[in-house]
Amino acid sequence: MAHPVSLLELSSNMARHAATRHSLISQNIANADTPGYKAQDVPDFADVMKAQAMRGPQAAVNALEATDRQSLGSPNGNTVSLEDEIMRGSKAQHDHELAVSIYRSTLTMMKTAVGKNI
Amino acid sequence: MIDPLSQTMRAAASGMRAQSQRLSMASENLSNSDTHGYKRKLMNFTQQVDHQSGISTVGVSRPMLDRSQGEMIFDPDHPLANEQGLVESSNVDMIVEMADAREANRSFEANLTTFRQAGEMYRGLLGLLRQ
Repeated sequence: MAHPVSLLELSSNMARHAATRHSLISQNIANADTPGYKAQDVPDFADVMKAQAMRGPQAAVNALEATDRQSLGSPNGNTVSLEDEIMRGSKAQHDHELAVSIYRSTLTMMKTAVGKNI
Repeated sequence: MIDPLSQTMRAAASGMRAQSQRLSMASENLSNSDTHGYKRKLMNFTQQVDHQSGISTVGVSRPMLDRSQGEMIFDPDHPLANEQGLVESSNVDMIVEMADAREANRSFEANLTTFRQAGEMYRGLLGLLRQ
């Protein structure tokens, strides 16, 4: 069972990951009509955690580097699909919401443990 | 490095600015579609990397003119008529401009959606302070 303090760290990392991914999605959408632009993305949070478990904290930082996402492009070399990006954007938002909710419930648990009335 | 949520907002804002410039160019072309001798204006989007934050925003290039020949209409009384009495009409294709305007509208809304999502994510974070 995870210690609550590490749960706080885990959920804040998850929120940061969702926000980073959302920022890349918004850059993709902004450049949806730029000729030659390649859509960018970061690996899933689960993959980032795995990399961190296997190769230490530095691997997790490296895993947050943006890479070009492989997909079929339009004739002008742009690989952004607007529908796809919007779907992924709302998924990233939900992930962020989930992370913030976990953070909040962990805080509530800690408050209950120290016996303060909520 | 600034936080990802304000990066989101900055990129979305640049996208909205570029799309509204594209829309204004399409409407300029549309409103001049009956002006004789008018050449339609074109523009290109360019990717701009903000060196301070490392995000790629979007900008527009300088407007260019489409130099293609417009349809020649026979109208000898027109002041711009040549020796044969022909006047060059504008080379604006209304269907193309309408399609361009519609696409600009759609992309603008997509940018607005991400902007709103970033705002909601901020609100979620600030909600942590408010319990």
